[in-house]
Amino acid sequence: MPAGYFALVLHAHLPFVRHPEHQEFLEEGWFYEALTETYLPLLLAYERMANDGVRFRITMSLTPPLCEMMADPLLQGRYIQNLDKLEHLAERECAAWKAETPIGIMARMYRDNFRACRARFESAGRNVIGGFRALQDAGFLEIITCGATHGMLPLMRTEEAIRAQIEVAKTNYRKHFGRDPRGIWLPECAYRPGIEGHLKAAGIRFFIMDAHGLLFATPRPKYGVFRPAYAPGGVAAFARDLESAKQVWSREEGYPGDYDYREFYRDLGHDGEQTYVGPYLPSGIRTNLGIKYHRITGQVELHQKAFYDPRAAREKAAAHAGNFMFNRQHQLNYLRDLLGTEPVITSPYDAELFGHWWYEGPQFLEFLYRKMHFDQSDVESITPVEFLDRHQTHQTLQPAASTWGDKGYFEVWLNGTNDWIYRHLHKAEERMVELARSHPVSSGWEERALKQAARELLLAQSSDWAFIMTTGTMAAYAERRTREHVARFTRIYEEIKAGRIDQGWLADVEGKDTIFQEIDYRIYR
Amino acid sequence: MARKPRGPEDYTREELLIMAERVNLKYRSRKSKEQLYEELGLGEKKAGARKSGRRKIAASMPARRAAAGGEDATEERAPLGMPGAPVPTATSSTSSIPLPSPFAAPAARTGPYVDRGPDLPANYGDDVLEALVRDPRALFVYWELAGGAYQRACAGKSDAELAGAVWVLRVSRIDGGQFFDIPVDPGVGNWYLHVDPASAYQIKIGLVLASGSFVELASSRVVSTPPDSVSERVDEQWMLVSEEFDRLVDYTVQQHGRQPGSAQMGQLRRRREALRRKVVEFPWNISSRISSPGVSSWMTSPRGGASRIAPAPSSRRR
Repeated sequence: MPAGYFALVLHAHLPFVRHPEHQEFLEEGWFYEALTETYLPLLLAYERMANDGVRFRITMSLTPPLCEMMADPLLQGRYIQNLDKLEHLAERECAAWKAETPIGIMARMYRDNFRACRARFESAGRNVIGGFRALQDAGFLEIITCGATHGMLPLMRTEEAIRAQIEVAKTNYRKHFGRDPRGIWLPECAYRPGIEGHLKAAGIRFFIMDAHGLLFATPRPKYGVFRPAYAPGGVAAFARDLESAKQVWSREEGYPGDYDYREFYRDLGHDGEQTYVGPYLPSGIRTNLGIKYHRITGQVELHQKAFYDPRAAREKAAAHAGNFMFNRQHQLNYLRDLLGTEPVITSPYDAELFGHWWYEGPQFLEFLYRKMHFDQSDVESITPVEFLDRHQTHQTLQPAASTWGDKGYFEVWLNGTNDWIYRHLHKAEERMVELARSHPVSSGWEERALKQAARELLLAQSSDWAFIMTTGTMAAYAERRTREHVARFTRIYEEIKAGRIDQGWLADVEGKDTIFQEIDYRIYR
Repeated sequence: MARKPRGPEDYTREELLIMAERVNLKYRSRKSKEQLYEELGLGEKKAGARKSGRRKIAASMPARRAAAGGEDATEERAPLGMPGAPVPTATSSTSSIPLPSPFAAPAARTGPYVDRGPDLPANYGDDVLEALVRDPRALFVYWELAGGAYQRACAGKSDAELAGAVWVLRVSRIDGGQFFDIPVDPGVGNWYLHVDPASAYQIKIGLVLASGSFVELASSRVVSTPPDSVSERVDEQWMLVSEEFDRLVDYTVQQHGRQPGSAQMGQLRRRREALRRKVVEFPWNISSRISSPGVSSWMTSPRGGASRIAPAPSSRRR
């Protein structure tokens, strides 16, 4: 018998960024970087473990916009072009530096990584969803869904809009994974009382929330955050453990700050001569290429960073994995005594932390799960669904409204930089409900317009836009996306009402905002 | 918040050409730097002549609204500017001032051209007030009074009745039955309210007449703020002795006070005191590292290792 359980939850999400109208688009790079640095390395690590007979359980959200991008032929083709460039540059670096020099060693490492990414990407038929789906079907992964476009559910005005975010996500999940989702990552872990009703209606069994969502529940949660509890209606809430969160996230003590790990901000895209790296940059704009030669080194200026040593970093990742496991063993044994029953530690993280920010993150996870499998028996990895199947009786309570954002509530998405969007989003929700109710049946161009209206509303609702406006970087792009989708929605609404659909324009918009081809606008009724 | 306009000398011709391409300026490649600058409307002459009058007004307004005082501001007049409107506050005494749209994005349209997307309607012809919960102690409310409710309310009233009327947000507590009024300028269009945790509220906008009666123009639904502490309610079926629960909560949050150092010890003490009051002082700083998933990974200063050495943007480029 293990002392308790460890449930890792990785949230993989990117907003839908797809610009066929431009040859190269800076923000599309988020997706290509995430594939090379996070999604493919994680997939390869999972597959290695599965092949080696390691028993592991990981819960991973792959949000609908991310799945739609993964399955999109245009973006798939562009990712290959992106890899072509990176591989070419890596080859040139290999030619320029002897194999035994520090840069020579790293250049070969990058070249091999790019090749491995390409090989796996091509063997998956360029759609990596298949790889994750196979791991889910084999029982290693529990893939959960999210809001259709990562919309802030508690800040929506109508119940129809909240329901649509969940139902559209569910339908999309079925399209990509061939079954219904059993769990959901509420966008930004944003919960307010009442949302569980929509989850229940969609057949979803559990959701993830931040610690205070459960700790401040009414009545008090007997086991704190160390066992799930049922929200009204019987949907289980799993809340974040703060100790394990801190070990990874903390600025001061977190593992990713180790001096042996790779330095994020020294990148060939910025360091190289413009004439040399220019051809590999999107429209020649200086940006990260993902070829980085330095390690964090210490509290020093960027130009004082020492060369990265992949072997030393790998050893550190192994040591950190051992430390993390040791801490979980102690934590679970302590909690086991305190609670008198098996605790479960829920550890949710951004998937993109592993690989993109923390380059050695995927290695860390692989070491962790291998060690948990071979070296001990106190901690057993588990998915929320497995836990609920084994333990059916849980406390019923009313969780508290909360998010996992700064300060724990909604301020990140509702402040002076972005509060202007809600008037427009709410009006668009109201109008979409009106359209759906007044058009129970439709066909031809009218039906196409109604579907596109639903897509535009959903895209405008992405919480990413409000978030980016708060952080300030790339805020113009986020504002533009919000305004563009609201404006497109409004135009479609007015054209439908007037009975005059501009077919050429609509076809153009359909070609740009291609998300959710399967959408049924009647979900807004 | 108008920035000092940049002159033609502040741009390269290439920069101007890129901007010209974005707005599809004809014959752009044949034009000189000065011509491009002029035709893109970047010059003080063009922008200044149209906007200088408004800028003075804008200076007295909150930053957000000032920034929003763009081209569309003149078209829509908030109720204050309407004939016969009461004059509630000193700032709005010049009733001919067109109030800017409260819903425009806070984007100053001066300086180099940045594509922030198309303009959105200044209003939708509705009378609405919507309240959103920001956190246990704050609500955000926005309103629009463009549906004629104001005119209808005024129609049956004499000038004498309306004279001295004051615009207010009426904040009612559903559970206790009390309310309080906050005088507002209706043209502002939104407001943040300080409220109590674990309470239900309804917000209305309207006029308090000299007689004391309240004329409601728009009302929110009932909204509830979340609790910011551990519940006093204990489930009998799942009862846990209070000390045990305190240990558990203590364990949950105490992990973050372990490091030595007086700051942390002080923090720990505060947490213990808070716990005694059953108010958990949360280590929000951990949440803040996480913020938002996905795109945030590209937006925020990175977590963990990278964040401690995040350099100034300029130093990143070699």
